[in-house]
Parts: sequence; structure tokens; C-alpha cells
Amino acid sequence: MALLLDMLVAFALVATAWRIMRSPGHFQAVVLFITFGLLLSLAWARLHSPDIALAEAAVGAGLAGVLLLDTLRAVAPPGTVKAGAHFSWLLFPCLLLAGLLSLSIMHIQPDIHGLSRAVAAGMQATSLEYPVTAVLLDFRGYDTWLELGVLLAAVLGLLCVRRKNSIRAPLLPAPAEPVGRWLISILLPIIILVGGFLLWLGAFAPGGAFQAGVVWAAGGVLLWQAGHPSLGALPGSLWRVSAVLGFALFWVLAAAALIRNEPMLTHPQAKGWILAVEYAAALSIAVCLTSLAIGGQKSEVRGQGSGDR
Amino acid sequence: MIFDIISIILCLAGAFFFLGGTVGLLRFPDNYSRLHALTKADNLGLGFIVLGLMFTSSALPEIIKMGLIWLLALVGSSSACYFIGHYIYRLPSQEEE
Repeated sequence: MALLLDMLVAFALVATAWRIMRSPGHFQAVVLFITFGLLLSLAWARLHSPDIALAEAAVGAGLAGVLLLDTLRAVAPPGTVKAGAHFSWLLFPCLLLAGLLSLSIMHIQPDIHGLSRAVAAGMQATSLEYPVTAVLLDFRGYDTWLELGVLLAAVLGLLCVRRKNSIRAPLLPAPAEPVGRWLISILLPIIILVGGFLLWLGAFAPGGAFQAGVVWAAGGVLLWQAGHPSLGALPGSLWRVSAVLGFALFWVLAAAALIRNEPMLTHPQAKGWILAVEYAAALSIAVCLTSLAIGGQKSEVRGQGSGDR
Repeated sequence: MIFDIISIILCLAGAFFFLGGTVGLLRFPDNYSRLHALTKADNLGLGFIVLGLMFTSSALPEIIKMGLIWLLALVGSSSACYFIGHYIYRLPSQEEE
């Protein structure tokens, strides 16, 4: 029964990928891509990787979908049909790559433990109880640091391309209908609560900074889409500080370790330090992703009179 | 044992409503009735499946969380339905395709 479900998910993934390539319009392709992300997160859940499943559902399906739809609105007017899918000459390289990957799977040793033994051996050296969070924030802090750097670089690149000096986008006019406001009044408290819950959960269960940051970013995008004035009321300096906070805190950690003549990014094993870094990272991820989603908008696309509020 | 049977029956009922919603989405003539099929039938199906899963769970927090997820799905899909319907309504004239 479980095998049947797994095969169904695998088949649906391949079929959806095929439909994405063959769909006649950009909009259909984006919607199918969101579906693909949801199916992929189901597959990760079936593979007993709840962390990746959460991240895939939140980032791959949710926020990437929003960014793609925004991009679509910016570059392609609605109703345009994609000019012939360029899959014919890509088909053979892709098949070759897929074949090579399948071959390499044959050669992998059937060691299902992978690195989990090494992580388990190192767990007493950290004050976190959940291995995945310990890897992300402690053992491989470098990776997380640089990921935050990538997000920050993306925001800076956006500012350069848009020739702005502030991340804040002009507010949309608040829609006339009450449904959006009703939705926000229900969803926003839940979003803040769920984000905080995921962040708190990360110390000992699946969850953590990235998932929490993405959930909060979804709240920011929702606020902005509904023309809620609270995003505009946030001072720009606070906005900037919170965007770089996660990256900066890692930097301080690295520099402090060098001054204390220890290897970089080693830090005193106090839980407070790791939690501070994690919370700052979540805040920065939320602010950076919100900025990416709303900062790239052209201010003149919708409604006049909202330009300089 | 009796809970398992109840759970299976409820999940099958949910699957039936999902099937109905999908058939409606594929076969209904215009956008409004398709929206209707999606939001009404699928939310009912989800409700049945959530109820069925509640019977298999033994922990109270899990049951409460599942109920909350269903309520959130209701809020999300009903507002999404409104937004899509509003958008179609304001489109210039080709909405009856």
C-alpha cells in the first residue's frame, strides 16, 4: 500500500514536470510549478525528511510561486502564449544527465546512515537537541552564514537593478472589499504564532530559522498585497538593520572567535548564543524575502496616488 | 477497532467528495460553477478526511491541530474563491468561456 502511494507520488512528479515543459502558457507553467513543489514536499515527507518537506512547501511552492507570479506580471502581459517550448534539443542532454545520475545511484553504497552517525557523535558537543538544527547552526554554520549572505546579496542586487536606496516599496492602495482585511485579521496572528512556534520547535524537532522566516515573510507579502499601512509605518532604518542582522551576527561570531585565537565560527557553548543567532537569522530571512517579493514591484503598475505614501 | 472502521468510512466519504469536486472542476461549463465545485465539495471532502484522521489519533493536541488545519483551509479557500470570482467578474466580457 505504501509502495503504491510512493509510486503514485513519483509518477505524479514526473508527469507534472512534463506538463510544465509542455504547457502552452506561462501562467499555467507557474501554477504547475507550484503544484510540483507541493508534490515534491509530499515526496520528502514520504522519505522521512520533515525538515526538507517543510522548507520545500514554504519556499519552493509558496514563496517561489509568489515571486514567479510577480515576475510573470512584470515581464509578460496576461494571455501571452509561450513561443514553442525549447525542449527538443534539450531532451537528449537531459536524458543523458538523468541516465548518469541513475548510474551513480547504482554505485552508492547502501549505507542508509550516511553522516547521521558522525552527527550523533558530535551531538554532545552542542547544546541543541535536534540534529538537523545542530548541523545548520553549529557544525556547518558556514553554510547558513553564506546562505544569509546570498539572500542579502539578492536584496542588494534588487536595489541596484531598481535604482532605489530603500527596500520599502510604495504601498498598494487598500482594496475596497472587506474580504482582504478580514483575511488578514484572521491569518496574521496565526502566521506570527506559527512562525514563532516553528522557530522555537527548531531546537528539538523539525522546524527552525528558515521555515519560520518564510512563514513570516508570507505574512509580510500578505500585508503588502492587501495595502495594509503597517508595512509602510516601519521606519526604513529598522528595515535595513533587520535585513542584515542575521548575517552580521554570524560575522561578529566569526570575528570574535578569531580574536580569541580559535577556529572561525566556534562559539561559547551557551544555548543563548545559538538561539540569538537563529532568531536573528529568522528575522533577516523574513525581511529579506519580503523585500524580494515586494521590492521588485514597479510602483506605477497599480493605481496612481499611492506612489509617495 | 470500531474507531478504525469509522475512520475508513469517513475517509472514503471524503475521497468521494474530492472526486465529485474534481469531476465538477473538469466538466462544469463556466468559471463560477467550477469555483463552486472546488471550494464547496473539496472543503467538505477535506473535512471528512480530517474527521476520519481524528478518529485514528490518540493525542488530543494532534486532534486540535488537525481541526485547526481544516478551519484554516476553509478560511483560505473561501477567500481565494472570493478573490478569483471577483477578478473574473471584473474581466471584460470573455468570462463565459
